[in-house]
Formats: sequence, C-alpha cells, structure tokens
Amino acid sequence: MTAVNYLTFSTILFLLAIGGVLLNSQNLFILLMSIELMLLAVNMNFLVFSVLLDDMMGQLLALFILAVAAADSAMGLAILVTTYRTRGTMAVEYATGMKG
Amino acid sequence: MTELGFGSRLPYGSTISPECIPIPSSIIILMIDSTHEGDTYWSYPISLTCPVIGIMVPLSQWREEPIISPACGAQTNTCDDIFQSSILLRSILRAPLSAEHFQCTEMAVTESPFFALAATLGGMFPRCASDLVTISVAPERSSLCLHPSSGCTSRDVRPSEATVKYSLLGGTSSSILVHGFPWLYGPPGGEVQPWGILNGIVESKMQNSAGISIAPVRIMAGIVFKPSLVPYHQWTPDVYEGSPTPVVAFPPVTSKVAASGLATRIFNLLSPLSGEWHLLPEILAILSTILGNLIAIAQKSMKRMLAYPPISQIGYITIGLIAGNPSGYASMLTYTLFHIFVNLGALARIALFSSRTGTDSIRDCAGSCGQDPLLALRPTLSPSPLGGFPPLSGPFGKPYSSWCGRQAGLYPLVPIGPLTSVISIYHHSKIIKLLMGERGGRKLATPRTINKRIPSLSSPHTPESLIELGTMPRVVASTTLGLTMNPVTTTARDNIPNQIFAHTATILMDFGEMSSE
Amino acid sequence: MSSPESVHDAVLVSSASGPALGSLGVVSLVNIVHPAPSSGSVSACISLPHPSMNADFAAAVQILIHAGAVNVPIPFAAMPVSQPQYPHPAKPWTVGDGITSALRTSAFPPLINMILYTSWYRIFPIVLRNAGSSPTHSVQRIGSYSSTESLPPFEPPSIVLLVALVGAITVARREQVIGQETEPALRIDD
Repeated sequence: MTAVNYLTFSTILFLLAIGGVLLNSQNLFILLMSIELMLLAVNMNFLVFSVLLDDMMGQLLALFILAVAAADSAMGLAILVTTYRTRGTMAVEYATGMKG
Repeated sequence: MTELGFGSRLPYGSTISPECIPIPSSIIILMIDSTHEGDTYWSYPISLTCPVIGIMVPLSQWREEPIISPACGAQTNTCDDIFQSSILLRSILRAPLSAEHFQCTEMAVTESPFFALAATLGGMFPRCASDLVTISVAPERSSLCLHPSSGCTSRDVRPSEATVKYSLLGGTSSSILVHGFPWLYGPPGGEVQPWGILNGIVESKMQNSAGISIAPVRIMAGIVFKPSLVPYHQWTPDVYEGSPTPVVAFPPVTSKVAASGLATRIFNLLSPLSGEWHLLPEILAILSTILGNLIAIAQKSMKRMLAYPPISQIGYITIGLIAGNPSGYASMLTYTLFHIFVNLGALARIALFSSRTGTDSIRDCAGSCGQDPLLALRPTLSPSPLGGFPPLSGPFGKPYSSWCGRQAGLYPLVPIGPLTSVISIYHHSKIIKLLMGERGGRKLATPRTINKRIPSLSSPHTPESLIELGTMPRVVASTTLGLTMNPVTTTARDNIPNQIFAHTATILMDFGEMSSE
Repeated sequence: MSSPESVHDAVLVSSASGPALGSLGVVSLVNIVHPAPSSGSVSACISLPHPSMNADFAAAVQILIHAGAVNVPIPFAAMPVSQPQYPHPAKPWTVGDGITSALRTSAFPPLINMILYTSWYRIFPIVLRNAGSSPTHSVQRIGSYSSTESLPPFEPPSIVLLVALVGAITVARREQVIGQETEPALRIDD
C-alpha cells in the first residue's frame, strides 16, 4: 500500500534526524537542520493521513507545522549567530561551559 | 458543517476576550518601539497594565458552567480561567523586575515587554485548546515567544549558551511531541475533536494497535521538556545561571505553568487510550522531586541552586495531574500559584542580595549577617516557603498533593513528599548557617555603587525601589498563602466541571467492552 | 490522479531517494558548508510526491516556505562560521554515542512493524471534509476552514511568526547602548 511506503519513508527521515540531534558532535547548525528534518517528517505523516482519508484538516495541520518550523528556524539562526559572535566557534564541545 | 457568518461570533466574544487584550497592547508596544529612538519607558507601564486588565476579565466572568463557543469550539471552564489568571499574574510580577534590570544595564531592549506579552498570550492559549489542531499548535505558541525573551537580555557567553541549549533542545522536544499527533489524527478517521478521536478509535477497533499506543509515548516524551521534568531538566539550571537575575525566572516559570495547563488537556485526551499511561509520568514525577532536591545540595552558585526547587515543585504538580480527579486538579492549581509566588520572590530577593555582594557564589556570602542582618534575612526567607515551616505554603501544599495521590491510588508517590521536605529543610538550614555564622565571605558593597552603572532617575530611592516594590507582594503571598490555601483549593475543586470525567468514563467503558470482545 | 502501481512506486522511489540521501548528508558530512545545500535539496525534493498525493497546496507551501524561507538563510549563516582552513576531523564515537546509535537503529524495526501490521483498511473518514477535485477548489476549502472553523489555531502561528521576526532581529543585532543621558556627570560615586 502506498500509505505504508510513505509512512516508512517519513519514519526513516525522522530517525535519521533524531540521530543527527543525538549523535552530532561537530556543529550546532547540524542540530538546527535536524530539527527541520524532523518537522518535515511530521508534515509528511500528516499529509499521508490527509490523503488516505481525503480530508482537509491534515493539510491545514501541515501548514501550521510548517509555519512553526519557519519561526523556529529563524529564532534558532539568530541565536546561533549571536553565539558565534560571542564565542567565535560553533563547535558543540564548547557549548558545555555550564554543567551540573 | 454549516458556515458561520461573522455576526454569530459576537455573542461568544466573551469566551476569547482575555486573549484579545495582550494582542493590541503588544502591537502598541511594537509601534512605540519602531517610531521612537532610544529607550522608551512607556512600554513598561503598558506591559504592566495589560495583564492587570486581562486578569480582571476572567474574575469578572466567574461562572459555574463552562461556556461553549461553536465558532471556535473552545470549551472553557473555571479551571482554565485559574490557569490563565496565573499566567497573567506571572506577567504582572515580572514587569517591575525587568524594567529595573533594563534601566540599570542600559540595554536598548524595548522589545522585551513585547516578548513577555507574546509569551503571556501563548501561555493563555491552551485554555482554548479543545481540539487536536489547537493542541498541536499551542506548545510552540508559548515556547517560541520565550526563546527571544531569554535571548535578548544579555550578550555574554553564558546567556547565549543557555539560550542555545533552551531553544535547540526545546525545538527537538517539540518535534518529538508533534510527531505523535498524526497518529491521533489519521487512524481515528480524521476527527479533530477529542471525543471524536476516541470514538473513532473505538469504531475502527484500533485501540490495541501499536500505532495508537506509541502516540501517547511520543507526546509524553515531547511534553516533559517544557516543565523541565527530569531527565529533560538540564536547560533550567543553565537558563537560571546564564541570564541576569531579575529577568531569569520568566521563561522557565511561564514554560512550566503553560505546559501544566496544556498537559491537563492532553492527558484528558490520552487517558482512555492505555491503562498504564500514568506509569511514565509517575516515574518522572518521583525522579524530579527527589533529584531536584538532591542536586541542589551540590550547587555552588546561588542562582543555579535556585533552579532545582522548581524542578522538584513541578514533580508535585505532576502528581496532581496524574491523579486525574477534581482534587488532583485543584492541588495542581493551588501548587502552581504557590510556585509562581515563591519562585519569583526567591529570585527577587537573591537579585537584591547579589547586587550588594557582587557575586552569586554561595561561599562568598558567608557571614553577611554580621554586616547587614536585614539583607541576610532576605535569602533566608526565600527558599524556605516551600521547605516546610508553617504558616508558609510548603506544609499545606505538599500534604494536599500527596493526599490526592493516595486517593487516586498512586501509592509510590505518597512518601516522596515528606522525604523531599526533609532533604530541602536540611539544605536550607545549611545555607542559613553559612549566612549567619561563618566567616570568609566577601565584604558587602555599599548600596547603589555596585556596578557603577547608575540609572539617571532623579528619585533618591533608586535603583532598588522597583525590585523591592515587586518583592513585597511576593513575600506576603509566599509566606501567608498556606493560611489561605483552603478557600483556594475549595474554589478550584468545586468549579472543575465533572462532565470531563463523566465523558471519559463513558469512553473507558466502551474501550473495556471492545477489549473484552 | 490515477497511475499504474509500478509507475507510482517508481515516482516514490526516485522522489524519496533525494530527501533520504540529503538527510544522510546533513547528519554525517563534516564540513558545515556541505550539509547546508543537502538540507535545501531535502526540502525541495520532499515536495515532489505531494502533487501525486493530491496535496498541491501543501507542495506549493513546502517549496515556498520550507525550501525558500527556512533553508536558504541556513547556508548564508553557515558560510561565515565555517572554517575551511581547519578541516574538523570527525571525532571518534564514544561508548555513549554507540549506545545511542544502537538504540536509534533498534527503534526502526518496531516502528516499521507497527506501520506494516496496522490494518489501514479499517480506517475510514468519520467527518467528510472532501479535499476537492481540483487544486483551486482545495485551496479555497483550506482558506475557508482556516478563517472560520480553525480560526483560533490559525491566529497564533501568525503572532508566532511576528514574534520570531522581531526576536530574530533583536537577538542578532549589534548591541546598542541607550540614551546619551547617562553622561559621566550623572554617575555618582558615594
């Protein structure tokens, strides 16, 4: 069934993105991009169900999730730029100054 | 569905008007900011007036029956009004502190009241969240407005690191949370109203399928970040330590209160889906209450230490949430009110204390009682309200919460309250002993010259007057709220409508019949 | 739109490989400059199957917002912070990384199992909100829903976008010191 194919694909995308968040040891930008990938996978899920049910609400929900993803990425980028300006590096290992 | 004309929405305007008050005020603040150069002091009074007006609306509309608005589907009741009022109260208490801070540090951040109002609006929004679409949008609504309000306060290394952790990890948890919602939308057949979702699951006989069982797990895994339940709590101490003291408490406390309100809605929806749904929140509540008190003992920074009691307090609030009966919700609401007053009061007092000592290390404050007894009294009073001395709030709030847990059959949670009270009393006595007796601390600076940046206000009572003014109601509330707890709890319990629980019971019976077939 | 099953599968495979490879590139490439366009290609390619799923509006919105507004600023911000003269060597995995990766990989079979063994034929739409036959009709229906029934969930994202706009500018701009009224003459030392 096509729904199964699309859902499998979005699950693969989501798990890859989770791996990008948890296993990222290089750069904070990868974290931001992985969050966008996760939200893309969620969008795909909503659209698949919307098509399966021939329903409008799924597309509406996907639109809202997309707006939230855009806002999140704008804020995340601004915060990362500020971090780079203060710290001079975007490496993940330097983002652990406060511990405990 | 028939289309509704604009005219039919007007009679239901009273349902959503509290949310309509912050919107014009935030736009006015933006317009003032964009048309005036330099600092504009008008934004602070506006950001204070708006929540005051907002809090009067639900108080004036105090009612017994919930109002249903078919135009937007919002079904609100007094329980939601109390949550909303607590968010607005939070915003009122924040205003003097942040005004003081931004004047002292000369940062041109007039946008800060705008972010605070937007975050307040976002926190009020779950009140209206009765369908899946609104519930899926609501968490982001408040948290995305809190990221800039924590990020715009300072340009140093530590605040930016704290904001990075808060925003990126918050984004991850929101994505995981939202990933559970398609499985509540699709398999039940495209219905977005909660009862429709549950009916759809029953009718399509999918209540035992793995897809429906995994959705609550994902949703819970995503939502526990916002109230900073263990093990997702690490962002809270970093935000406390990184941000300037007067403004630090706004993002975490608002996030916790808004998340509690939203979790109420979500758990109402999820509870019929699986009989063991409360196992995970139980474990997290126990871990939060215990670890929140234990890790605080090891802290060396006063601000970082203050981050851990709220983590344990959210564990108590979760107990009331899991209990799921009217007493549980009442205990949750009461404890949320305590939480707001106590945390803001503690931070305000620590702000005054730190401005004189110039440090936030606990060790450096040793012996300050000998130099200025009144000043040393402030942090003494600050963390102990929830510690357990009558007539403070602690000995009334915690037993009530444990009693609700026992009533609901959550026996592992019951002994946690007394145990953690003992730990927190021990810890606070250590700090009091350090302040009162020991030597080796820093010499206290004379007031008003601590960092050489004096605001140019002409009144002789500056710079601490606004913080002191803001601290006074908090001191009164956090130390005497325990005495007034009974009327608060009774009002909350009597006004939570039983129809939520009646409907849930009907669905549970359907599930039971289906499972036994 | 009806197409033979094999053509449909071929479309799916070709349009899914783009995002899959791109997302692998995002999470595993070392130099920051390379994941950025991979992320853009993911967003662009993922909207390819949408028209065949009768989700034309979603495809258009995906391209415009996600690929255009989200993924285009990311390379612009990534360029100044990349350091090509110090190629960052890939750090060796620790034990924790290994455990996390094993957990993530082991989460894959149960999820796929769940998808494969769910009885999708039992799902039927309860509320008939027909998506509409033509693209303009579906866009009209989405517009009418979002301005009548779904108005409360529709307004907050608009405020969120406004706050994100103001917030991004406020956070990332250079610090300004307010007012020249705090002149040295007014700084009092007791």
